[in-house]
Amino acid sequence: MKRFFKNFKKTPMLLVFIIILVFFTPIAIFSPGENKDRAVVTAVGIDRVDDEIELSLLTFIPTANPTYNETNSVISAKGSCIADALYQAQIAMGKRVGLSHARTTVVGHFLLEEDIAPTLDYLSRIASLSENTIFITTNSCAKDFLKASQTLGEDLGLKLDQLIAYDVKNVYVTDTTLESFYKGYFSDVRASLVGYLELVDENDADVASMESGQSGSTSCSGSSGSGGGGESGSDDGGGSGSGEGESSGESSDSSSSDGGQSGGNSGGDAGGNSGGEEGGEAGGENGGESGSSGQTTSESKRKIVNDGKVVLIKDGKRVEMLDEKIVEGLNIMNQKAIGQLIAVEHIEDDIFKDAKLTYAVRKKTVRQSLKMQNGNPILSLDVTLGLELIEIQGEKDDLKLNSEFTVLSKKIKDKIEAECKRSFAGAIKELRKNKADVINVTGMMMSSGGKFKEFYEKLENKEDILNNVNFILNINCKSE
Amino acid sequence: MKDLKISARQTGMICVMLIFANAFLTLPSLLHSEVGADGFFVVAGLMFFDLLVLGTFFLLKARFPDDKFYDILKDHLGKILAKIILALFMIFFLFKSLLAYSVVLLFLKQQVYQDQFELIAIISIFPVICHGVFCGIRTISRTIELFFYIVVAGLVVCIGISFTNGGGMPQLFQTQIQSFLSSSFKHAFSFGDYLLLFIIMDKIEIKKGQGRKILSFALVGITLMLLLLIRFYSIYQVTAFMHTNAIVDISSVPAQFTGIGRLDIIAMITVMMMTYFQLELFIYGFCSSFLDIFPKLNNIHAVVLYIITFFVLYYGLLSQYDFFIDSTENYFPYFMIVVNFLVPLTVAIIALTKKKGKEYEKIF
Repeated sequence: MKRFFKNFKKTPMLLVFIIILVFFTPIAIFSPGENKDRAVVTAVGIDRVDDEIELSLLTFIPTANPTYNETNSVISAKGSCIADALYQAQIAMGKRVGLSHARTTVVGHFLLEEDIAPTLDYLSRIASLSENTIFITTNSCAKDFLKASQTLGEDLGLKLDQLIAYDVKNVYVTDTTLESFYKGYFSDVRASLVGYLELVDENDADVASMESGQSGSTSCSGSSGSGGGGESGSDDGGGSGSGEGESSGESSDSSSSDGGQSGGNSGGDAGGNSGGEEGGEAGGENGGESGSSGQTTSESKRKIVNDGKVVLIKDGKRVEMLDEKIVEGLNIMNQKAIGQLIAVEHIEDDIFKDAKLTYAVRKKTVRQSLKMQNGNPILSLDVTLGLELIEIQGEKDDLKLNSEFTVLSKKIKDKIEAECKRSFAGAIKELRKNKADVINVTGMMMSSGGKFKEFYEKLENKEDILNNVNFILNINCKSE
Repeated sequence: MKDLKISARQTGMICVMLIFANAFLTLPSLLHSEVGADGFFVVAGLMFFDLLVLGTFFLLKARFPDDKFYDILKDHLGKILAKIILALFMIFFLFKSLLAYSVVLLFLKQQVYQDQFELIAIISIFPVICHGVFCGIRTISRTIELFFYIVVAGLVVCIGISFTNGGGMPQLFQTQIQSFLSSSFKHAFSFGDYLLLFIIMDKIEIKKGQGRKILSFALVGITLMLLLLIRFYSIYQVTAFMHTNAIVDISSVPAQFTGIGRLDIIAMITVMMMTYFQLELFIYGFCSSFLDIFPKLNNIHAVVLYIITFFVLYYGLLSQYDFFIDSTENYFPYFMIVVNFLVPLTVAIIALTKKKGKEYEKIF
């Protein structure tokens, strides 16, 4: 025994070890599981409701059950600021909230009418919301969107982040994370692209479509005046959790009737502004439909529609909706954008007669070079496309991957080139109109240095860089 | 503290471990808010200066291979000046350990624990490091030797993961030379880590040609640091100022790939291990300087004094993290002019004034 104590005395670290065991073992054994104390938030939604911020949390509460289904629910609360709303949400669910697992952040339609960055600042810097969270917006309330996202999993086995991840990889081919938003926001151009998913009623009527030219509403519910949104479950709770069915139905009511009014009045015009002829029709139709169904959709289910649109954000506010065509135009100069389809019509040559050919881009190389000509910078883009013919419509309407079809005749090449140029010009026109250099011409000029940097620094209106740069697009097509 | 010698290889590993935790965490973002991506050059410049200090150490070691730093100073500058210099070293190591501890504690609070963490940190850090200090520099360096490749692997993995995050070329050469110099001056306290080698110089055994080994290790550490910095500025560019934990931020996987789990844990473990060793080395430096000033006291007095001073400063005066960071930027740079510039310069002059008949030991 004496020897034991002698050895013990010789090794004081053993004493430290025992102290640590004595202190921490009971704490570790008897402390309750973290899941009893914490709720894991997998998606965050932020809305403006009158003068308050409404925070909705798609929450996963780990519970033991015999199936493999996750129990998710949307908890929402209001507050004067995000911190307050988050605090109220914690009270409502009786658990502490951890945001570090939140993979998606949805910003409601109305909140994007103001600078969103200061609102998000608290979440990303203090509340540990990862900057890698996918950052998207919608045409409705973020709360309704999150509720609808639950059915994605139930009906289709899809998750929201998977849906956006597909777009990021194949449609936008640019990041739509909180980080990429901040990168745009804090850059000289102060612009960025944010992913957009539409929320529609099951009868396909747009809930509060932006194309419908909706104006006047500045918040998610209540201020539209016609839907009785102020009565929703979350409202009476004074920031407590809201009943799912109730609030969903009510805000559907308010926003669809709103969409009906404005869509019916001005749908055609607004559609024309944002998306050309097709958009005009859609705006009109949607407006009309939702107008007519305004009184009856309160119980209808909503679904999320992914049609590859993005929202252009400038100074933290939404300035424009870019449809899939414009996104495709922008992707022409994006080397990572592979898999896009290019369709050319009225092809007449030895093989085809009035055919419509659809090609898929399998390979792409883009060489960008800046030149200065007559004191004006020119961005020259040499794009080489490796194309695969994947569909023929016309006289030879069967898909034949014979070698003669894979040869790109001069006529086809010219048509493809013209199509790409038209698409690219459309995209640049849109960016120029909004003075939003999301293609980073500013960065290129700054890193090129010398006369380019000098040119940029001399510009009176630096935001308008795209209107001061000329573009040359050279398309070279190869068959794959 | 036991007086067993350490090898050149172990000394080299100490040089890698001494790269201050702050440089891997908050420093890159602080620099970005001042000089943008040119913060890379600030760190490169300050590390180059540290290499010059390391060169001074080699010079002194070649001239006085077995002598104690205090004895060298006493012989050439007199007892009082020697004690003043060591007192300055004591203050330097005390504040270095304070900064390392507070930065890492904040980092762990953000990443892992949110409350009641301080007591856990105290119980799990201080007994271990104080024990290391009691056991002496040889024990510390052998422990470092044991974990060295794990730490380096952790750093390499973090930098490796950063390549999955993409990123473009950071915009370099955007600041004026004046901003560059003022930023270098402001953040001088985050460097100067090789000063510890002077304090332990009598315990380092460098055989002929082994100086190269120490230098290689130091260069490995510096390269890793600069690589991390360039990746950090490449990934985050204009938002780098928002990311206060550089090593974790570069290794956080994009949301699309979160299916493979969170890999931040690698960065956390690496930082925690480095912190243990850094704190041990800084406390050792503090205690060793203290015992040279007060030779009649023993290591228990030194460690107790350190612990008391540390906690009084930490909880009493410096509990305000912002105030502390501000102090390191506003007041400590002047202190660093004396400790990291004037002292090495004096030492270099001492080493270069060769007495007749006495040759330099060949360590390269």
